[in-house]
Amino acid sequence: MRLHLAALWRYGLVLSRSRDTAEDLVQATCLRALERAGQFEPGTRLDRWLFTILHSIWINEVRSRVIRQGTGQVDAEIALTVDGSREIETNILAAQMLMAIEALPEAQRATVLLVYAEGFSYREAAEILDVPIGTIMSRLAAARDRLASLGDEAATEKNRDADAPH
Amino acid sequence: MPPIERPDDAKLVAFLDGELPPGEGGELMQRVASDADLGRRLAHLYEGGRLAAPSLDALLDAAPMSRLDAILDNALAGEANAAVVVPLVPRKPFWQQGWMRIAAGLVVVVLAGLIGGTIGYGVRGGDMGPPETWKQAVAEYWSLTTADTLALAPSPEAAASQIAAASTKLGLPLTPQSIDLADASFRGAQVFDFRGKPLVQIAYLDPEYGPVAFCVITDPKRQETPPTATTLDGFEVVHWSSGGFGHMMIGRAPPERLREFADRLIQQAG
Repeated sequence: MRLHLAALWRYGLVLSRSRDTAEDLVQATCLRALERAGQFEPGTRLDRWLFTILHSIWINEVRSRVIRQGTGQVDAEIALTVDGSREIETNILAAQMLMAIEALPEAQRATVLLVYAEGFSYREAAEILDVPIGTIMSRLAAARDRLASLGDEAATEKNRDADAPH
Repeated sequence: MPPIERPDDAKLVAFLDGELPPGEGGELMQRVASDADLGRRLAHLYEGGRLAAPSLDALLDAAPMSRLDAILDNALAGEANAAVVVPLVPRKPFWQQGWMRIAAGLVVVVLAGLIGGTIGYGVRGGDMGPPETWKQAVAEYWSLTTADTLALAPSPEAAASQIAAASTKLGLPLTPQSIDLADASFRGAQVFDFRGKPLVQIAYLDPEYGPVAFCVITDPKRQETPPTATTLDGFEVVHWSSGGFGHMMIGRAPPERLREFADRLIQQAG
């Protein structure tokens, strides 16, 4: 389970957009997983099981409270930021993309993370999120369209700045 | 000949993600080669996902690994110490705790059978003093228990471990079979310390009446009293003494229901 802690934290962060909540979600997931260890089927992916638990805790026990308390909004804080030690250009691009991902609706953020960052198949992501595969497909299509549009806007802005008289 | 329907974005993205069957993928490639608009749309969607994975991977560097490791260590330690004896000391009511402490705490209650070593009379306020009797202590603790608190059923292995530990501490043979209540499902066994005596509390969730508990404490006086119904702090209670142990059933179920449970336990204890 230790191998998956960072990935669980990242999923909690992407869902909640709050670092404190992400840690709390990891804690609750660890406790729940240990308690239900007997329900894990050997031979299946442990990370998929853990992601399912975390998602369930988020949906059923945490999300409503976070939103009610107003901490589900991130106007004053950018939750998804990258580490400063990364190469600078990659860092900038990654930071822009993370801001764009952070602005996506929660369902799209979760789906993007599971499929593109965790490498789950559409079917596996559908099982974790408890939705039909068609929903996974439509969420990813909407997310890619949105992320590409944001990229286009950024490129247009950059070109405009470059063309401006000095 | 009807016009061929243009693939929607979901299909294009599935193609990019390698989720289309090989035949469909090849067909789509041919369409893209002869349809510039479709090609542009595919490129647009490709661009939208190109940096998602590396960007999210960079996020992993920000994970607070030392704290996450500590979280797991604490969870593992809590699981290993599931049968620790918890002293009867005041606790802060759970509704005064932070919301996430509640969420984590509620899990811990069921998992490890303890929450920060607390039970009892904190709900009455600090000026009430300690409870006079073990039944009073149980009633005050039980007022903190809700159906949500008992939402999780322990795994059979965890249940057997908790029951075995409780049996050892109490010096009374207890097994999953002897404490089975059929309709009300087992939700955890805890060992408390009440004035130096082990006090075992076995929690159940009755589908109709919510949380109920079966509690046992050693009785040095070795009294023999039949099951008797009473009320305590708004709870229905059925208590009895036999074989050097005091017993009680407590909950918000009707006295008849608790008596039914008591009779079953007495019979199963053999």
